[in-house]
Amino acid sequence: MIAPIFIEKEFRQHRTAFLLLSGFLLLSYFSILAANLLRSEAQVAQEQLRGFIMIFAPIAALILGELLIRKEYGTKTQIFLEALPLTRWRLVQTKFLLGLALLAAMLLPACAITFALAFGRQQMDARFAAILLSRIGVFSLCWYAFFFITNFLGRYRFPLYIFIGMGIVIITEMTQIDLARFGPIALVNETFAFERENFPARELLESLLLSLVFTAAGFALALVREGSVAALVAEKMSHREKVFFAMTLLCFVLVGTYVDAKKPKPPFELAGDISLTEGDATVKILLAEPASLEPGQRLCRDLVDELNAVKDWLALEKLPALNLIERRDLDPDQHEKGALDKSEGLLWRTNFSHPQWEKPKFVEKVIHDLLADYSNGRAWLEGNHWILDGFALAWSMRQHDSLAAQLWQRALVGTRDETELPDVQQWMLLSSRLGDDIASAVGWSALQALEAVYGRPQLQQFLRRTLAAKPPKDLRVLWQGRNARSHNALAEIFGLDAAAFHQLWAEKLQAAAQQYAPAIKTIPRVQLRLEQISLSEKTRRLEYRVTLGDTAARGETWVKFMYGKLERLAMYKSKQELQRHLRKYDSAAAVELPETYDLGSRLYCGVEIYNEALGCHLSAGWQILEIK
Amino acid sequence: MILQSENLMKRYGAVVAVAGLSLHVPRGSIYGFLGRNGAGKTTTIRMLMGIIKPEAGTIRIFDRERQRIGREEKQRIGYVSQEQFFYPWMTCRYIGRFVSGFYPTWEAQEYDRLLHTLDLPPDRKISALSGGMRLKLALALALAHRPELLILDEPTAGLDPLSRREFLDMIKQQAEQEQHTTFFSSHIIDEVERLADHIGIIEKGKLCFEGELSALRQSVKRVRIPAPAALLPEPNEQPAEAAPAPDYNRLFAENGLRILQTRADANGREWMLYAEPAAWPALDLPEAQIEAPTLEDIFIAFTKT
Repeated sequence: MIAPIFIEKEFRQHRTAFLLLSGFLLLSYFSILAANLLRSEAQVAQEQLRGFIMIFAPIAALILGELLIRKEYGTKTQIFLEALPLTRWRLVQTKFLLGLALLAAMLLPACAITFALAFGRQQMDARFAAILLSRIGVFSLCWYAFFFITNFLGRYRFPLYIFIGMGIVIITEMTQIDLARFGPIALVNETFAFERENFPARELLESLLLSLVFTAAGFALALVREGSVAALVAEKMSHREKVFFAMTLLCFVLVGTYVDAKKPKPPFELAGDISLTEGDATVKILLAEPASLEPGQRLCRDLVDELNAVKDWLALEKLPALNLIERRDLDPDQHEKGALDKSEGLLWRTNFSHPQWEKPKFVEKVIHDLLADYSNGRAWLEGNHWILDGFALAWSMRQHDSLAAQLWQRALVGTRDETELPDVQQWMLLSSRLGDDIASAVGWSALQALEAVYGRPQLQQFLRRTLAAKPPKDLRVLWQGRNARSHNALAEIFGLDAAAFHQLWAEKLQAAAQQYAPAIKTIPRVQLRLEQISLSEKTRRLEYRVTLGDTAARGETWVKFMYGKLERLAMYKSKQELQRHLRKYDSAAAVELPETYDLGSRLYCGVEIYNEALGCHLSAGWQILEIK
Repeated sequence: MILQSENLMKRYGAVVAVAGLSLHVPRGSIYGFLGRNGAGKTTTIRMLMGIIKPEAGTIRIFDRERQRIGREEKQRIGYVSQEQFFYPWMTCRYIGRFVSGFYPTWEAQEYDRLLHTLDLPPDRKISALSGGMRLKLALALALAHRPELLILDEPTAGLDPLSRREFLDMIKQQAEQEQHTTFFSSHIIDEVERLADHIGIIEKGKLCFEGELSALRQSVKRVRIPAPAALLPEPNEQPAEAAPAPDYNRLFAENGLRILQTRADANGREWMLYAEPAAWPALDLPEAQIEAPTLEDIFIAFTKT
């Protein structure tokens, strides 16, 4: 029989921690109850208890293990105890039982409250209560036994937790094994709150066996070699060990990401009305209405040809399937990209039946998306993005040579306010300022300059290197991806450094500027002014005014003010997510937006105006506005 | 004997820490267990305290033979370990209360008296005690239940000379007062000399000598033979032209003297010899200078043998 003084010592030593833990558990349980009251669909009391036990029973078991075992061995006070008339076995046994009793005592109030609530309102009988208690008891025992053994592993317990966590993730993500069907996890599954008749015998037995194994292993660890193993691992990790574990963890992560990246994603399944596969290209279209069938079929044919052509030109290895959904609510110039995180393929939504819908603009978007996806996002990165933008535009316009003049004018408009040529390494900033259409033209002009001097074959080689390289989805991208970077490719294919490239490009733009100067003069400089109107101490309204410089607007000019509230820390919002306020241009009028904003809100806004001469939108005034 | 061990053995992997140790600790004695660092003193004590189990051998304690010391025996032993791993949050008073729960013969009054005598503030936390004060506290805890056997493992390690002297005096005083047996380990010669009446010298896990200190002093002598007579030929050396020197090694062996150590210099050769006290008067060596070495010399001679 262990001296009662020993148990008293444990309480005296950890009483504050025990009290805090008990308080924390009770508070957490009440928080769950309170949160449930606020829910639109309240959960039954047993379900709330399940949530509480799932999260807080392991936490309580972990903390109790740390207090009773880890603290004893970590401060070496077990050496003092071993010298007393007290066997090592008895010491470990007392701590184990004491911890278990404390865990039960700490979880009991939540169970009691739940049963009290349930007995009052829902069907709860003795059998159901017994089933619930058996689940909770064995689940908690299993966790406690697990932390009992890990605390005897001393300095190795945290690496063990990490590796177990990673192992669970790997098993869950990469295999078909459903861990939630086994052992203690199965005891707190979705049947917890509703299974009133049958004890989950298999799960209880599995969990009890697991608990027994953990407990036996914990005792073995504590007692083996006169307790010297537990005493040894209780010491702090050496520097060498820390480095070893850090490296091992890193290797695991790398291998894991490599294996995960290698796992092929299933193709996106679109139950399309039209489907065509030819060569390596597959296009599927889901129609909004049967009337779109003919234009849909034509578009499907054209897109298959486009995809096969670009594949050949850039020597791409494989093409993802293109899935298209017709959306008649979209504007003809609005093309929405769908996100496919867990599937292979591209997904777009567009209103291709609209009479003003332009195929080249849509093809530009698709090619852009295709190459960004193909290169695992490498083509999208700063440094290569100008090539992606320029090529997508060039490809979509390749059969429209008559539009070359328009594209040069766009490029000139995009660079007219710059004292020097844009830095292609800061392409995103430029693109957000100029708008996609003008920015793409600027990128296109750089490619035109290269082609004019070095010829198409060499340009093709450059584009294949920068856009069509398929880098591996692992660390090898760090050295294999090097060749795809634009400055390396410019140097190796054209023998150009940054200065020489800029020189060549500037010369081409200057030549275009001389040719198109009169036309450029007619393109307005769009300016946006914003004003905040105070409605109250904390509320504001926004007013905007657009001017087109000293160039008179020709005909009806429609101004599209785009705006959207930014989340905290966000610096950008895609145009898809922005609201649009469309009105006819009136330089004299300031326009008030209907919404009100609180102080401290942040808005991302800008304006677009369609210019007939350029055949695209002029973008201006993009900024983040803080409501003050 | 209050404590005896027969062929105690303990191995840590390939290292044999204690190799067939047979101790005999007389009841009521102050037994000094002397040995170098790493000789096996602490391992021996841990086996005697039941903290670790011997791989072979037996321990006879309080007239009971045991393979491993149990709870009942521990309750009759007071133990002061080499290092104190007390709970830092406990006060001197509380730790006494805590330890008392394990000893049926604990006397709270005696513990209070010891705290007072040792100048230990009862309500001070252990974390606020100096190393010397913790050692005194350990002694108070070891003595408060009036043990029959007090075991101390290098108790004065880390103490300054004054504290060490005080502590040793305390041990001696307690031993005289309480008439208990004291078994203490040390590598400091003068500590053993000061305190012990019985001594055991351990080297590489084996006992080199065991017996009364006075007997040890009478048993070990330094014998010096001045040159040239002492210049015995080295193994491959040709003897000098002068008359051959006597074979002293054989002479000593014939007289029952065990050579512990020998060395030669230009002035002669000397031996550290061990023999029963009665054998010394029979030794007839007029040319020899025989003197009593210090305990330190004796210890070194034994441990380098």
